[in-house]
Amino acid sequence: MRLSCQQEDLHRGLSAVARAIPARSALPITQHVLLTADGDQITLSATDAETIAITYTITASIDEGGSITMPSRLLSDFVATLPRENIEMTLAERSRQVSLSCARNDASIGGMDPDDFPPIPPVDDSATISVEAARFRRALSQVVFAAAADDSRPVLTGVHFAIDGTEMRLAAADGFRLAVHTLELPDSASECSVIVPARALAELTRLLAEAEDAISVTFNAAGTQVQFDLGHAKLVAQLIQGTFPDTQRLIPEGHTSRTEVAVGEFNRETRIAQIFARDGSGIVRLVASPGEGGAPGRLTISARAEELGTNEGEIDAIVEGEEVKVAFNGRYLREVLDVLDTDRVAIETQDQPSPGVIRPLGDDSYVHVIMPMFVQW
Amino acid sequence: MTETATGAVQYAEDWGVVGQSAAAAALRHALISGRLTHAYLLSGPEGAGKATLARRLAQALICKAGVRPCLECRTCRQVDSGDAPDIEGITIGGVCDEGNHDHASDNSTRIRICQVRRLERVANLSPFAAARRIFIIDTADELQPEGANALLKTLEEPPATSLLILLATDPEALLPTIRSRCQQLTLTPAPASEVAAALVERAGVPEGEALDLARLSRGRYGLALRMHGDPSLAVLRETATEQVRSLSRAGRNERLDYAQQLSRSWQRERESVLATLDVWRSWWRDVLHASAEVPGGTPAASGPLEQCSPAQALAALSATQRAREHLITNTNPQLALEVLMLDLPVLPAQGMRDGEEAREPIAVTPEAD
Repeated sequence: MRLSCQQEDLHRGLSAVARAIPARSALPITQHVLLTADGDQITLSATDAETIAITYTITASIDEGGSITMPSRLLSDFVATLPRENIEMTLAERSRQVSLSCARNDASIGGMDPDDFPPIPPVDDSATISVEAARFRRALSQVVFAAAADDSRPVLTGVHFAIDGTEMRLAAADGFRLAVHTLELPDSASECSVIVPARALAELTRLLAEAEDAISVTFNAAGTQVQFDLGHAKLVAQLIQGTFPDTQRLIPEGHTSRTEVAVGEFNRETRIAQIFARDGSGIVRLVASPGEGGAPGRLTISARAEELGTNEGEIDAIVEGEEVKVAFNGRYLREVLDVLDTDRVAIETQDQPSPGVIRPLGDDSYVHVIMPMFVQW
Repeated sequence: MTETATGAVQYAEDWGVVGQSAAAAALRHALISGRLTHAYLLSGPEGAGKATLARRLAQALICKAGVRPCLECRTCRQVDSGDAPDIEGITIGGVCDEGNHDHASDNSTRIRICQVRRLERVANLSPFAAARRIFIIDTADELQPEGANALLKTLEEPPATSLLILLATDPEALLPTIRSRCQQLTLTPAPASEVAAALVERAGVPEGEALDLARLSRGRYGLALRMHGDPSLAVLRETATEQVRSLSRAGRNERLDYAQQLSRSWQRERESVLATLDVWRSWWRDVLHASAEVPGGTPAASGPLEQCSPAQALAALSATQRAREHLITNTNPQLALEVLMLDLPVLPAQGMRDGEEAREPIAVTPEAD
């Protein structure tokens, strides 16, 4: 293997694939990155041999093809600090030593047999769905955070993809909240229902930041893997087995009160309340009162820290229906307000205690449900 | 996967697990008839071939050769070296998902609950490269009680593509709920002649030495091989066996002196004290087998064994086990060992009549722990 490439390209590629490398693993080779030089490009691959695999392609001028694995951390830290110039790379096949030179710096890195690298699972072309990168990224950012962080119910650590016709429904829940985003697909796709690990989608969101056009999503026929193809980068994730709860049933139908507020103000007041709430059990109380005699309605957001202090904020609101008193975990409230990109948001509630349904105004694609907390008023 | 559908796959007759051809044949039969269960409990004494048999089963399942396991392809070799994706060994000091501690450097004495939680998460993912995710718990005896309980859920409702293989030297000490959720396969010691022949053939051990090792290991090829590689093990084994033999006839003062001596060395070298207790445990197990006349329990050539009732041997076995538990869980070592000494039955000295030292030991059995 003998080639040369640009420092920026290699650096970008290495940092992208390094996200797949586990902090700790039983398999030492997963700490390595695989370089394969062929044609006029280098393919970088990394995997945890467990949940995800990322490959990234950069252009290079290749004198002699070949492949080698190198310790990811060492290589990427080294490349990151090099000046923005051309990097020459030569592999001594027998000793598996790679010599790298850039500007006036030379390095030699010991590699491992590329055949020992866990094979990146090929995803056979069964059903490919095309989706616009920016819209997909937005959908993921509104859903992934709601997945469960602990493993007590493995299916909840993933995001449910339900595809039917031209609709792709992404849902995540952790037992206390539920986020659902529905995407319209340009072409009709066959029906499909799978659970993708949230961790893999968090990495995908990062990769999507630099993708511009449509990306293709492929689920393999065996129902074990999904591949997201961004053109220069590919991410393959192992699916979580099991059945996702029926989320449609978890969204309450109808409401007795509806409170409409500005997202920015609401988010700011929730942040303030959360400072006081964090010493207690995270409880943030909302009281929505309809305006009387022509006066505008208002929403008060309050929190108490036992023996430390209290806080109360008030914002304008349009309140339909009766007065509402409801308490939520402040963190859950803030996390959903952080990902909304509309100006205004509506909170729908039924007779207490019932979940709060949060809908961004003028955007029917998203709905979020938070379970209330039981408090003494 | 496609080959399985056409039925073209063959499974090798000989899995090369010395002395365990019966257990291997049972697994092979399950593979052929397609009746492999989701969880196996392989039990047998240390060095009997539990881990090797577990690896062979894993290889038979993921090897791509015509006759499986071929033991030659890259996949088979990766399983043997512990580098195969989808095959995960759960051992003391292994990895977990929590970033705030590192079992490799914090002197873990047990398989911790966080490792079991990781297993649960990974088991629910589709396999990466192979058709199955296989977890080898080596050994289930070393599971932290909380970890054992956490494992029950996965054992109860295992994901379709996972296989759990639990290894245990003392299956009776496991939670009954774990035992009942696994298909149990007991590995019995092999005849000394078979072990000796394998030592000569595979490890190039000279014939005379091979027979000695085979006898000393009481029919366990793995143990014999380890003793061949590290002669100090054989010495430790012999000394420890001598000790337990004389202790079983010793009086109380002598025993308490010994407990004190052993508890002192616990401060410096835990490993060797634990190894000593392990030898004692297996010695009492052999005595129990002999007293209960279990066929195949002990190879004939393993030396004279004490005459005692099964009840006495069982009491000694559980006392040793209890002392080991206490030591691992940081009980005062001298106390734990003294209790052990008082719990051991007093056997009649050879050539001496009952009486003299052989008074009934004081009953201080701490049943409720």
